[in-house]
Amino acid sequence: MSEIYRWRGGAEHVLRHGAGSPVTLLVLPALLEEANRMRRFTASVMRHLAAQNIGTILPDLPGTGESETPLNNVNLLDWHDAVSAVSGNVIGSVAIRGGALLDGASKNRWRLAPESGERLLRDMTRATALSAGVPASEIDRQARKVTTRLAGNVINPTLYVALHDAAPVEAAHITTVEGPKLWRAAEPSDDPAFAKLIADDIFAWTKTCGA
Amino acid sequence: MRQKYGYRRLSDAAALASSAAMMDAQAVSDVVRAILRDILSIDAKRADAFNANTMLFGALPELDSMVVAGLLTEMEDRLGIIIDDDDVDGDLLATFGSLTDYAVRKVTR
Repeated sequence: MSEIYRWRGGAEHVLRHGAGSPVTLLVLPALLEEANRMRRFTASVMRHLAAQNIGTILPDLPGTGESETPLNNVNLLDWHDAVSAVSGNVIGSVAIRGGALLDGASKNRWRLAPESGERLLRDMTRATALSAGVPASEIDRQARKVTTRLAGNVINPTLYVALHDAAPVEAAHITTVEGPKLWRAAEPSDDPAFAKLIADDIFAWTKTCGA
Repeated sequence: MRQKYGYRRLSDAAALASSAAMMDAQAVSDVVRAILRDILSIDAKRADAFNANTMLFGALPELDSMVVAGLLTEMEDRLGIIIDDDDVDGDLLATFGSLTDYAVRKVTR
């Protein structure tokens, strides 16, 4: 199920469920700190979709997951380019949280609780500040100037500033869904009932995608 | 855009703010308690037992720094307040009382 895709910066892993299905969706994962918290849930939704004959691919973004590229070498353009490189045969995108920052080129967009880069980074700078015992404003100033470890993620100033300014593209016909905030839970669970609900919603939405 | 499963869109912060302006200290504390309950996945009984002296950050192992940061964002969204980054430190989050006192000041300002 794990495959490789190539983009201009190298090769990265991509998780595929439902190979051989008539249609395939691109899954854009939650970013950075939220990525691990949402991974299990995301994979669970993909399995439900495979059972309904909908294929999905979930790429490792450069610098994340099993990527051999160090995150501190990555900028937002790399993520956009990697997403573009893996998007060949998909009919639309399913974005989880910050993944919606990367779905701008999709024909058909479905989003779960899309989030701006500024708010994602604010949680991380605040967490870092609390651990370090300094005000969060100081961490923000630092991250704009030098590569900084934010809640375990080593982020360079270029990526920090670009993410800070990034917001999900607004357009007509974007399906947006909210639900339990699994990414906020102290002990994340995959909430099987919600995963099924989400998969059913995505399944119904694919019928409107004009495959 | 669709709204589903009974959950509020984040962009409703402005609407929340107008209702938050009428909140009293008890109502604010109830909101903070509800957020802690959601985040910590604890039952109402345990959440109801929180009082002003209940130690939070550094005392509850599941409240690590990232979870606490999420707690602050939830407070901003549900209470319609903006928490100044200069105010985010260990003192603010030391106890349930310090956190709710801060939130009450922000809501009633």
